[in-house]
Amino acid sequence: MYIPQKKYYPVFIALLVVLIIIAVFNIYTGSVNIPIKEIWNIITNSPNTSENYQYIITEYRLPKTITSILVGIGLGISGLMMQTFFRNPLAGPFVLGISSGASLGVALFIMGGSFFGSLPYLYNFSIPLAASLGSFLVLSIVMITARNIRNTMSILIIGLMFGSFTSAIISVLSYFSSATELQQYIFWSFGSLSNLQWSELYLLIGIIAISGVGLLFIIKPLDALLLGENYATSLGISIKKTQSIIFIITSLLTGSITAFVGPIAFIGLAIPHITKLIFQTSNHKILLPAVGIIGAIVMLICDSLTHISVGSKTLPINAITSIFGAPIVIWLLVSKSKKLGS
Amino acid sequence: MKNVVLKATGLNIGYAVSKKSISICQQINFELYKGELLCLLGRNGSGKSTLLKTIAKMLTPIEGRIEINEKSIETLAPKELAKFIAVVLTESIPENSLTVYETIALGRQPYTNWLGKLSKSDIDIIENSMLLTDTNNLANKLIHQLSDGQLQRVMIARALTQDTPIILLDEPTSHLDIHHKINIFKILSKICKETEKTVLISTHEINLALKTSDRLLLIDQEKFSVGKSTNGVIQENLMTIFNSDDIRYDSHSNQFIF
Repeated sequence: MYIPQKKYYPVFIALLVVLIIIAVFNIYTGSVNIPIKEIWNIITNSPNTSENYQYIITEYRLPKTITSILVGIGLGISGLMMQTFFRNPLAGPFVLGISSGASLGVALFIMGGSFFGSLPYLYNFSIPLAASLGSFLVLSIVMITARNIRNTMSILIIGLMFGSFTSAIISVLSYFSSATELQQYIFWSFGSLSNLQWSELYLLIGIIAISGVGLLFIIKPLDALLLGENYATSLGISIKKTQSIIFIITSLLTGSITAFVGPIAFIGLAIPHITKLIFQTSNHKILLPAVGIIGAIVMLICDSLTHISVGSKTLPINAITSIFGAPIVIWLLVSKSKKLGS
Repeated sequence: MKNVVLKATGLNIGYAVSKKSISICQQINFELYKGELLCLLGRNGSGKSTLLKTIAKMLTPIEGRIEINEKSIETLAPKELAKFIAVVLTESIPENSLTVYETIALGRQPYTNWLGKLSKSDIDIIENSMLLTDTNNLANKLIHQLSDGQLQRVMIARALTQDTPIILLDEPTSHLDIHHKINIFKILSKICKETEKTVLISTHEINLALKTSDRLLLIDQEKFSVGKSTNGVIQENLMTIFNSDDIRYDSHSNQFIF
């Protein structure tokens, strides 16, 4: 009996080529027009380059491109894991309360001044720190609550409840805060891919690499979970252990990304859907790397789109991801159901 | 001397409701032998699924123990237990795009490496189970495109692929028409004969159960009994469970008459 195995290598190679082209395009776009030839010179470390251009590329654009790629990989993978684990297509990387926690932390830091007096300002580390503390706090509460709960769907609902709870607190805070504080908070919530220094990038790369090692342990459990929790148990999967690994990886990835670039909406939810529509498989050995690559591509495209600028200002990344992402997902879903004739 | 594959002693099954456990059936004692086909009968809510889930360690018994090869299943690691017991459940499968082949191949998970790579012998086992369940022509279909009867055969093939001495099936023929019901029971008794696996089926198909099974397990009103359908005590119990004005057990032809 011959079972034809679907071949995924051509798609992967095509996607990698697209990724490289878009990454180069992403470095090329920006408020200052740098000729391609100069970019090539800088990448190849050729001596006759303009110092200004070199500074823009290595200290601004290259970190931003790499940030986009890392954010896309991290959020895409987290979203896929959450959707498989909760067996819910609406789950995303933020269902565990990471985004609401980060928002609460930052809101308290920026707008809480009127309540607690001014808080110490640690230059550009303070906001990531506030976001991390906030996510860690809310995540811990969700995890402790989840520990005694057998039904995974309840965890999902608990996460959503914490989201509502924190956004209510943020509303109260914003009601009492000054216009400047409010603006500062809203700017953070738009997300920004361009704030990262190289040292922070190395940290983010390290975290993603560690998470990647963790992923190797859960490829099979994730596949088994496709049949539901009871079948997975009967295949020798420990649900609790799998849950812990998945939650730890998601917290690491999403938490660190949110701390550095803000709560990037939509990507974590949409990328797994786009990937499944392209690859037409549920096999996580294929889906996990595919989600990473497609996530990176989409983030790069979104970041490039922020530069089709109105005057000298760039558009907020968080708006772009949804404005351009949502129609694409809808279109893909509609065209898929047309193809199946249902 | 019969070959005991599973032994339950003093089992008290039930479920937990806010820190209190509610018992459904107590004093369950039985042994399952190698290569026999058993049917678990009882009315709705009598605890058939609870018993199967307890054996599969998806629920913990309130009391008593279950042993496989003289080892309590409590001490078995999940992965070890997965090499002894495979299940076919009633629950529906979440939306996914698994193909039939991929679904059946998942049964090899307890044996494969971290990437789930299938060896030559894994593939042989998969193909053999597909032959036994007549699912080889479905291999590349998505499981969500299958009819109920086809899906049930695929889930049986998946359990077979797990290559365990025991297979538990929870109402494998519900939702199926009479033709497919008979077909499933035929496949299951074929599996029993050809692979010497022990197959335990919970079912409402009393007549099919009486015809195909080697022994019956009955649960009624917190009482449990086990034995051959020709056994007098079992026949009496059967009558008390299912007899009513509309349905009657005829011990002569060994079947229920409507």
